[in-house]
Amino acid sequence: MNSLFEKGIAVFSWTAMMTMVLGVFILLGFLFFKGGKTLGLHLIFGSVSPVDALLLREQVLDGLFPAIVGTFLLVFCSMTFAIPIGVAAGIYMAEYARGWSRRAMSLFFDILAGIPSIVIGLAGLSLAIILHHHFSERFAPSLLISAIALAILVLPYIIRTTQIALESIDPVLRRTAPSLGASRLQNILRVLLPVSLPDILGGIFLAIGRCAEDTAVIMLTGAVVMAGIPRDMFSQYEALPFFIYYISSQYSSPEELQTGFGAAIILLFLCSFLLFAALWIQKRLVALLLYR
Amino acid sequence: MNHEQVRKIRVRNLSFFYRSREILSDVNIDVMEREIVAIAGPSGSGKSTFLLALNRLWQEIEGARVYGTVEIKIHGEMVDVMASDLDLKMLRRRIAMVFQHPNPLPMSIFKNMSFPLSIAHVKDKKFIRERVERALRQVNLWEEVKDRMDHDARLLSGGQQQRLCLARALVMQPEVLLLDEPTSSLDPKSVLAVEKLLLELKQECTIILVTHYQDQIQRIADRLYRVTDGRFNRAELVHS
Repeated sequence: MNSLFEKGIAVFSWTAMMTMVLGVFILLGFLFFKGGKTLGLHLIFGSVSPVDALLLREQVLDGLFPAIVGTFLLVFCSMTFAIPIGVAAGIYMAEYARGWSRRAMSLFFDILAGIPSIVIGLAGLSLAIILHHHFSERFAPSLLISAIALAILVLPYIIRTTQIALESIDPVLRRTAPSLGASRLQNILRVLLPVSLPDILGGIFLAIGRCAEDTAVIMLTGAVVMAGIPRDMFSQYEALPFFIYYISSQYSSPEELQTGFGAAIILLFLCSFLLFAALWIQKRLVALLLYR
Repeated sequence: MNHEQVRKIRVRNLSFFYRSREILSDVNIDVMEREIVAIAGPSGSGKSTFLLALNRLWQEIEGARVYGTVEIKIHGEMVDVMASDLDLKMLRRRIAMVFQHPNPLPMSIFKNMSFPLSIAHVKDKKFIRERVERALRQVNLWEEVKDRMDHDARLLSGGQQQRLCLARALVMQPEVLLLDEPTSSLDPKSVLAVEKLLLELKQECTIILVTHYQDQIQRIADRLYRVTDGRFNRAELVHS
């Protein structure tokens, strides 16, 4: 009976795993079937020469290049805000917060994680309006406001993964550096953080993916269809997820819809590139911190 | 007790609680300079916990509370280990500890060995290399690792890891060495080598050794305490 039950569980687990793998392949196959034909330099650079586009000598009006650059900048700026704050808050939660304050902050971060992205977008828009009225007219829906709003959206992922990564370190390893005379900060910076870096990076991967794909936040805080490459942080910008959303809801011909599928494939490539870049940075960082 | 001996550690009315459970109860012991004190007793009786009270490592354990007096002579002066303004970094650099299970840091062998020096802001690379080599030679590990100092220390065998941890504790040339069953993962040859090393180290530091092995106690201990349910009792050494 037990053996039959165990076999049943094993078969169910295997089926669940295979369903997931199959789902991913079906999704990728569907995307390539629909948008594969559009892939090429023309999809990215339109009628502009790639060299002229890359050197910013000529603006791309009929390609995805501004949206790709905009998405890169958006992810970079959001992560620049979110990683230091999220990791620092995670360290505080795991290493310093105790008692009721820890429980209260845990509840706060759980609530923050559950806020729908459209609400964060609305808050970002309100922030832009307040700043515009009270500080400078330069503040408006822009790359800066989108990056701040997206950083707030992904902060709970980074905080939680940092906290859990630090808390799950073996207690003996946790006490090793202090037993050798390390201060709490030395223990955190030289042992605990490098050791938990792979797990923390897991949260950062999720955050990068979320920043690259979220549409609700950016459509309210600065993304537009035709903005070109942003000149500075106060400019509006183009982004791939917004382009995909716009094309799929407003397309006027099957060819235009195909462009949307092509953009989705490029977004997948971009996310994969960011993922591998983060993995490479993690490996280099761990090697640098622990083995050299 | 030899009257010329000087007291190194004085423990009075020491009690240790983990949450509401009493682990150590009213411990009173003295340890003299340059002697090996063995602590024996059944598992869970509080032997290892006692070591944590001496270097205040119990502070790293949430829910631990300690009461009583612990004084240790450091740099020639008796220091109140329980004092709230005590420099814990200094205390733990002078009182080194080796845990029961090998606990190499997830770093290279060299980084493990130089870690105590680097956190003490020692910058002289030649000095660090000399100290590292000396400590590794003391535990008979130098020849085995000298050509792979940049390898991950966790890839060493269990016995090598334990000797590495002992060497790492020695690198700061501590005044007191707390050893929690340091030979439990070593082969008989390495056990005898470590015991020989401890007898040599006794000339320059005080050693408190938690051990299960009666024959080891007979071979190297100067004094023995038996622990039962958190209570320490002086026991006679039976030398064959």
